[in-house]
Formats: sequence, structure tokens, C-alpha cells
Amino acid sequence: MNPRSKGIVVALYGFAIFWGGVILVPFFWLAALSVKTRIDAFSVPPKLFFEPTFVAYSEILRDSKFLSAVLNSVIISVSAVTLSLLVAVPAAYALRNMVGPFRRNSTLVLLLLRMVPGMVYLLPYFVLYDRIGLLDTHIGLILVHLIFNVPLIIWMLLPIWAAIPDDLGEAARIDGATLLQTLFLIDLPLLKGGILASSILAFIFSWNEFLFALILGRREVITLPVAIVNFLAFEGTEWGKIAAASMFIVLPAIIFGFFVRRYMIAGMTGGAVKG
Amino acid sequence: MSPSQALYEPYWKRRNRSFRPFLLPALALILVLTVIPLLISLAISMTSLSYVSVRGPRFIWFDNYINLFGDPRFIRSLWQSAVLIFGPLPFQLLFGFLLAVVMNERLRGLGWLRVIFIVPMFFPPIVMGLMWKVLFTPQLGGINYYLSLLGISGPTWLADPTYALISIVIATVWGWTPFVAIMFYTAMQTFPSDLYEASRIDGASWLQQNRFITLPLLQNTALVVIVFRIMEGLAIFPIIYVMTAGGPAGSTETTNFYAFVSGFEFLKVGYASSIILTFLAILLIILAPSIRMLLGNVQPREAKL
Repeated sequence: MNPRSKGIVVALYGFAIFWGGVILVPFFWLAALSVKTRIDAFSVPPKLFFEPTFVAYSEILRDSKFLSAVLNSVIISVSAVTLSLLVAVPAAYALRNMVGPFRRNSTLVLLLLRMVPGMVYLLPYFVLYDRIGLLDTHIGLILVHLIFNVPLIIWMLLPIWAAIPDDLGEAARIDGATLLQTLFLIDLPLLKGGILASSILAFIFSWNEFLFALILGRREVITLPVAIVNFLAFEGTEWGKIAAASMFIVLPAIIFGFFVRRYMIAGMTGGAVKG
Repeated sequence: MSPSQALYEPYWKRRNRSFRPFLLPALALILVLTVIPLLISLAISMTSLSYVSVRGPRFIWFDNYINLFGDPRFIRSLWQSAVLIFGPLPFQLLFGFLLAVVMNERLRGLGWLRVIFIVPMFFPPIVMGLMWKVLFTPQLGGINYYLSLLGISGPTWLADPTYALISIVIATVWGWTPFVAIMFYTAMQTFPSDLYEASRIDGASWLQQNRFITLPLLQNTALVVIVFRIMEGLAIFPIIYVMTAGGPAGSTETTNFYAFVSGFEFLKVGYASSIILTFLAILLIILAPSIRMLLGNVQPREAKL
């Protein structure tokens, strides 16, 4: 690239810092709210310096409903990701090695069905689950998560996998290894990072999911995002608790996201950038 | 298949067949989990199914669909969906481009900012909604206090029909600009450096390079981004749900949200299905021309044989 003029460099720095602020200030505002007393929270002008209090955190950690929501979220996300991996990894293996129209069409169908707005699926699932008794069960929610997680993992693994040369696998097959052996002994060890990254990304999506959890879980199977909304509905003004609970959902998502950011970028661009 | 036929079968077909069993479980699972509900949805949309009616559901053909177009609330929701999908788009594209340029320049000391830029991508939408609700709530959020320091008397935001819509647009720009930026940034990594080299020798300035090389090369990526944003423009449901719940006075009710309200508040499941399927059809009609192109673009690299 060309040497940039001073003015342009200053403008670039300016915009970068500006946008960093745009991202961070709202987030810190919410984080601050979680450690403010009620009086500090509503003071005008806003208090930027205040005595932090962790009352809200200790309250939600003693709230059995909140704790069971944490548990539900973990159970559902972890199961959904595990089940997704079981079908998605072999599928990605096949798609990576196949050629021709069947492969192309399968890949596209998986993408298109995932892009359909969740609300389209929600209504029939509600009616169906109501009939067969899957409303308010873990398994009901886990099944729905598969719709989004399986294609996500396949689509993320494909470019990573395609970037790994198949020479070793080819050689193994010529020597008489079965496809299953090739998958387990050659491809998977090379693909560990990609699988871990796609699992984490799928976990984040499951962890963050709100729409299905709101309707298909009712009384027993309440996940974290729904539990927070219930704070809003039933305890309208307890902003401290809402903010503290928000930190509980958002921090794991961001921390995990931090580790997979490179892979995610690779996954979205068809392997143009390696992780 | 006779042995002689098998002998002449091309290698790639045989190879495909041996890999097929690995693909089928995933394909079967996804088809069962999506196509069956879609068919159920289609069936329900032609009935009067309602959880409040004492009478059982009747089959009423396309009555729900016909009623839709006489339903002012539906028509209005279409308009509001368009505002919430297309309103943020220019800002997301502009800021996303600028961010991508900043990231691409690898300025000293800004590595950590690249990490911060993508934070919203992992944000649970529900928390995003709560966060902006806090910010826009008088006293709690402080936005209006800081506006008043600038001599601006801030609106009531979420309580005002026009500004409620704008508030959601702002939240959406915050949330999805990073996605656009990352898409642009990764595309830029693939641009051949000799183009920039040649233009530099010809005396092009930095601005000219961005204007006449980078921007035109980003066209395809921009189209992919736009298609994704239109399809996922509906994914802002949680944000609307916590920020305004469709209000005030229905001013932020998207078609998506109206389907939700019809189905799960009015419990008119049949009618709600017809709303959301009509909306899906409209989206697909809008997107049909670009979907072919999109698919060519996001198709992962073909495996070498």
C-alpha cells in the first residue's frame, strides 16, 4: 500500500478509537449498573464514580430459579453441541471428499434451511410439541438447536478441512485403510482445532438462543436468557439484578468468542484466510 | 447394477457413493427437523386453529391468507419490517467498510481494538436489547443527560413511536456492524497485492486506491452481506421483545413480531402461520435474484481429486 498522508493516519486512528468507544461504553454502562446501588443507578447526573456493591450478584446467586436456569442452559447447550458434532463431523467429512451436483446441492440445502427465520419453525414446533408432550423438556429444545448447529458446524469445518491436503488420506486408502479409519486416524487429529472452534461457536449460539427457549420451555426448562426476561417482567425495577444476570450470560459468550475469533473468520469466508 | 456397468462408472461416482453414508445421517436429521415442521406450518395456516376457540379447527383453504391483506396491522408490520431491515443497512455497510479499512491498515497499537470490534458478534441478542433499553431509559441510561450538556433536549426514545424505531435501528447498527466489517476485512485479505503495487507505481494516492481498487472488489462481498442481513434482519426479535415489545402503539411491530403476538398472545396459531409464511415468501421473492449469486460465492472450495 501507499504511504499514507498524516491526515489519513490521524483519521484512521480517530475512527478506530471512536468505534472502540462505541462498543465499550454501552457495555461498561451495563457492567457498572450491576454493581451500583439503586440510588446510584438513577442519579442525575449519572455517577461515573461510586462505591461498588455486589448485592445484586449475591442475590441472584442465592436465587434458586436463576441457578436452575444456569444449569438448564448448560445442559441444553452442551447436549446440543455434542449431538450436532456426532452428525456434522461425518457429514463435513463426506462433503469435503465428494464432488459433483449431489454434494453441491446438499451443501446448499443445509445452508438455506438454516437461513429460514426461526419464527417459521417456532409455530409448528409449538403445535407439534404440545401434541406429543415435548413442551417444557430439555430434549425438545435440544432437537430444535440441531437445526441451527449442525449446518453451522458443517459450514465452518468445510473450508478448514478443504485446506488440509488429502495426500495422507489418499495414501492410507491406497494402503487399504477404510474411510472410517482414515477419518479417525488421519483427518480428525489434524482437525482438532477446527472442531473445537466450531463446537465453541455452536455453543455460543445455543447459549444465546432466546426465541425457542421462550416458547418451548415454560415453567421447568427455563434457560438463562428467558430467566433474565422474567426478572424484567416480575421484578420490573430491579435493574441491578438484571444487569448482574446479563453479565452471567454475556461474559462466557465473549470469553469463548475471544478464543475462536480467528476460526470464525476463516469459517465465514470459505477458507480464504487460515486460522 | 451389472458388473460391466460398475466397471465403466466414473471414479468420482464410485468415490462419492462410498462417502455418502457419512452424509446421510446429517441430511436426514436436518430434513426431518425442518421439512416436516414446514409442512405442518403450511397445513396449520389453512385451518382456523386457535387455542382460545372452543370449536375445533376447521379447514378453511386460503381464508387466512386472504384476510391478511385486509388486516391493517399486517400491512403496517410489513412496512416496519422494511424500516428495521433496510434502515440500519447503509450504516452497517459504511461503518463496516471503514472498520475493515482500519483493521486492514494494521496501524501500530491498534491490535487490541480488532478484538474489541468483534465483541458484539458474540453478544446474546437478549442482553444487547437489555443494554440498549437501559441506555435509552431516562435517568438510568444517561443518554439524554449527555445530550443536554450539548444543548440538545433528548426525545423520550422508547416511549415515542418514531424514536423507538430509531432506537432499535441504533441497537442493530451496534450489533451487526462487526459482522459486516469482518466480512469486508477477510475479503480484503484475498485481494492481489500486485494491483495495489501497480497503482502505486502509477502514482495513485491511498484514497484513490481505496476508491478505485478496494471498493469495486468488495462488490460481491457487499451483496453477500446484504442478503445475509435481509434474511437475518428478522433475528432482531429478542431486541424488539425486550426494548419495546412492539410498542409504543405498535410502532416497532415487525411482521415477525406480529406473527409471534398472533400465535402466542392471541393464540390464533393458524392465522399466525399464514403471517409468517407470507413473510417468508416475500423475503424469498426479494432475494431470489441474488441467492444464486450468493450461493456461488459462499460455496466452500471444491475438494481436489
